Amino acid sequence: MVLSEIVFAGIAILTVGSALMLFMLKKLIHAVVCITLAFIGAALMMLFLGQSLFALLLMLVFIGGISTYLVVAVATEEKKAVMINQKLFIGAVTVFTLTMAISILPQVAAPQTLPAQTGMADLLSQFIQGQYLILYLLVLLLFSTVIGGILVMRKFAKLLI
Amino acid sequence: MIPLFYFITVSVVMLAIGLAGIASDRHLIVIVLGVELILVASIISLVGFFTYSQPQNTDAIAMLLALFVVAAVEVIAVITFYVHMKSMNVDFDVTKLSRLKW
Repeated sequence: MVLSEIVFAGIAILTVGSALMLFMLKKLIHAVVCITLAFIGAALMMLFLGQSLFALLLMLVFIGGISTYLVVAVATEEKKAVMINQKLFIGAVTVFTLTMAISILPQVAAPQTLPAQTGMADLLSQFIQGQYLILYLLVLLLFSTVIGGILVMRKFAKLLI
Repeated sequence: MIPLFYFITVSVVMLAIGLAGIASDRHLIVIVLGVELILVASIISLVGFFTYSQPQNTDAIAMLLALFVVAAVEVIAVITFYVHMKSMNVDFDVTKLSRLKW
């Protein structure tokens, strides 16, 4: 197994794991952080596919826009989410995955040829030297600023009032 | 080189998780997050197929941009509804949203 496949496996585990934890965790704000991690994993997958423009769009629209809006909306939510039956959830995930895997995956199992790159050096150079690097950093900075601001406000709200 | 099969597998698993979450959860925001998960799964699979098969096809790019717009608009609409209903102290168990009736 080459290095790029190992890194891809790590990103896939991050994406799928955070998607699962989205429905397992009890607080809404934790669920929003989980879906943000899933968005970051999806953006990294776009980089693996060599589509840095779509990775940028995913970061801007989903993380910079949607996640920030969701964090602001649910930050004041004190109640816990209505918890699902976790056994029912795991069973439904298994059934849906098996059904779709049986119907879809054999049709794409044939080896495909990728026209462009995807070595690790290409990926890193695309990420580091790309013209979008500043925008990636800005999106992450905006998101962390919003979360940090909310945490600070929640901590010092009583003092301010 | 990462095969297309891997991307589609991740996409299928995310789609299944989103569907199962929508089917088994009752909180409005969590259902919206499940829909977002499904949209991201569809974006991953669409970009995967687009990259491996026809990179010059502009129809896929238009479809992707439409998906981005749908995802953003959906969240804005639902969160606005959520904040408005929260100000009226409404329970967010979607099975109890009887105020949506005429």
